[in-house]
Amino acid sequence: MLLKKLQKIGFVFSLPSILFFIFFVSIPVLFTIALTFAEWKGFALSGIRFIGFNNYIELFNDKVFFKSLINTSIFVVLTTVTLNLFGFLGALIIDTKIPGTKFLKNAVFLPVLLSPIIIGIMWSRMLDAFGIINKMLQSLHIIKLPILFLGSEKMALYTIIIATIWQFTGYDMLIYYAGLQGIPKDIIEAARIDGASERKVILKIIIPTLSPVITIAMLLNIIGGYKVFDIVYVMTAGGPNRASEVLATYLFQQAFRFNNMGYASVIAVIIIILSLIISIIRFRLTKQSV
Amino acid sequence: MVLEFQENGAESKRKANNINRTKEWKVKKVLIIALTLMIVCTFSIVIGCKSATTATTAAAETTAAAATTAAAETTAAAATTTAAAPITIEFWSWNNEGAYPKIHEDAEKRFMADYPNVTIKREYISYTEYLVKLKAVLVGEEAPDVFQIPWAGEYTELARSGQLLPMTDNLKEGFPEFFPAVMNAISVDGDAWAVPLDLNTLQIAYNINMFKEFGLEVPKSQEELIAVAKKLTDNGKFGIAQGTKDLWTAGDTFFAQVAYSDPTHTKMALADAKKLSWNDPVFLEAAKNADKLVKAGVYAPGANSMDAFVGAKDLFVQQQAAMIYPVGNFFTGGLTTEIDKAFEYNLFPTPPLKAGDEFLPTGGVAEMFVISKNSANVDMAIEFLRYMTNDKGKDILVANDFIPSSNYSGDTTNLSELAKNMIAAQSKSQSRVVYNTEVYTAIMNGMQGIFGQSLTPEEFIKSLVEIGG
Repeated sequence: MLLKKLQKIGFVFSLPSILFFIFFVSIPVLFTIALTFAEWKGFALSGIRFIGFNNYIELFNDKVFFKSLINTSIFVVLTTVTLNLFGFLGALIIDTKIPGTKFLKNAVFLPVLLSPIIIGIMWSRMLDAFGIINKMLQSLHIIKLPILFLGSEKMALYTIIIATIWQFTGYDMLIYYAGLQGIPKDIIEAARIDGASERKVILKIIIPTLSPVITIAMLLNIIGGYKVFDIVYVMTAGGPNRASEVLATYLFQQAFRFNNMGYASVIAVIIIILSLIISIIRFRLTKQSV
Repeated sequence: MVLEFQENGAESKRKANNINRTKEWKVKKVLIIALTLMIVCTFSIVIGCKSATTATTAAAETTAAAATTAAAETTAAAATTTAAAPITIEFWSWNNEGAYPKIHEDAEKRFMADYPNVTIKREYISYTEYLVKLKAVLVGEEAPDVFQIPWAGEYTELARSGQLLPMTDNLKEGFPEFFPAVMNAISVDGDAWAVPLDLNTLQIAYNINMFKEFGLEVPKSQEELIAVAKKLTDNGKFGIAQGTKDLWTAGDTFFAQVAYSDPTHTKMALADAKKLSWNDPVFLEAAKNADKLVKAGVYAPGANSMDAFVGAKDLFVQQQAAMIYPVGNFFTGGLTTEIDKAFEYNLFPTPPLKAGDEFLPTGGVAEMFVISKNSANVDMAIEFLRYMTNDKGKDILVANDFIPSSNYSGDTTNLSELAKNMIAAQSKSQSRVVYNTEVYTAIMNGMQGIFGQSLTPEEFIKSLVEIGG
């Protein structure tokens, strides 16, 4: 009786979150999926017209979509690997608590607090052909002509990746640092007393223990990477000539420039599916290793 | 007894397990039913909207027609009667820089002075977010009464969406006579849907002092432009600062060339309407001419990494580049302020292909406003736009170096040289509009490729043909 009452109270307290999830997550996602089978300019609901699988057929013939998919995948892989690596190394360094690590922690974390739009504008100005970085390199006689970081089709995407890594290293570092605090210090001490090298301590004790943390950090990076929009839009708007086009910027263009809400919904669904697949794979791999 | 106890314990455990399994199944049933209901509801909303289209569209058309008739029949007396109750007119624009806010504010003050019960609630939204927010309020039927709209693809699609108040009849009463070319630009499927405020022409701004310093003259042909740029780079300066990171400026370079490669000045509109292929030689020639200028070093390096209103502008204002493109009245106010009398500048259109040929700038409608079909204050909204475009509205436009979209009969003796230049250029301006947004986007992206030398003119034209035919 008491248990039933407690369950009812628990349900009542959970109700706001459940309702929020239903109205602001579930229904919009389902509406988006429904829209993938429709043609809609987005001006009035009465304009929705069902066209079956036409949007999906169009997707398979869309070179720009595949280019944006490749660019996004490159972005995800490079940012995930680098952020986790730098984040982990940074966490190890600040965990040593040697003088200066507190300052390092704050300095590395500070960019995380800024909006990607501000970061994008800042880096755009610095990396401009006549910006401070080129001016410095030219004054040191390292280069003669300016490097077109954002103006070159070969460099634009990688420049954005570097800016993203600069911004979010602190975020991963904090996740790993929190994870390191959860490792019992006596295990590490015992290993050191037994003669284990630092390398062995990291590889055989710390990394296996941090496995769930690594999973979470990687998943967050992957999902964030597939959704990336702000920093790309501000730095290059997907240019030059679509060289840095990612799924989200192409989705934005389809929805709000070309007024193809149905087709844009397909791209949104692809982003969701990709994130889900990778999350499931990662969870399965973690489960197997445990 | 122990065995009995064990058996009782096992029995209790089995009962508890059964109870848990029953509870689990009940929860699962509820979740399955809830998910099914959500899916059914979502699809029903979507299908219901489609099946309601005919009835809704018919009702909307009837309502729109009635609103138009009511608005047309509304006299000043009727407007005064309506004006007694407090009214708020929501007004959206993205032009919160340069002199536009002054122009909007002036119209607002004059209007509210005559209609004290009406408040204009002006809101500026950055262009990046503007179309997103506009779509959201249109779907929610909460669009502002009066809002600015881009003149190209978005305008034509919005006009056809049934969300706008048709203005064909309204423009005949109390509005000036807009230029015929302007009326063409705002007409979609035979009807006008917007009120054009001003026009712009796009030209090259040049540093008069720097030209004198290096003994240069305004080039009369594109070959001369190449020679001017070479002289400047030989002296450690750049030719034209252009920020093609803002895609539209890249597109305008193409349009500036089409103005010369197509002597009929009709082919771009024909190709846009799919009555002509983008494979026509005039377009390839335009792309080749643009490519030639890029290869010749006419433009400052890094165009694709610079934005027009910051990076390119800085190069010109700091006198590292002697020229900047494209410049129109949307830019001259800000340029003049930043230059702050450090040097003088003036404008000339992209030079023709041959010396002696006429200079042809490109241009079109700058600001234009539409009225929401669902506006609760249609008559006041129309009246406000009359105030924006009347003689006093034109005075403030001209005083700020803008070009009205109708004949200006006011005093032009005190106009700045820039303003006189822009008004004179307006009469010769060629189109810079492609209404098909996908083709327009392909033009902008392709021109970025030309500027970055990653695309040949032939590849650029091929990309247009693939999309636009």
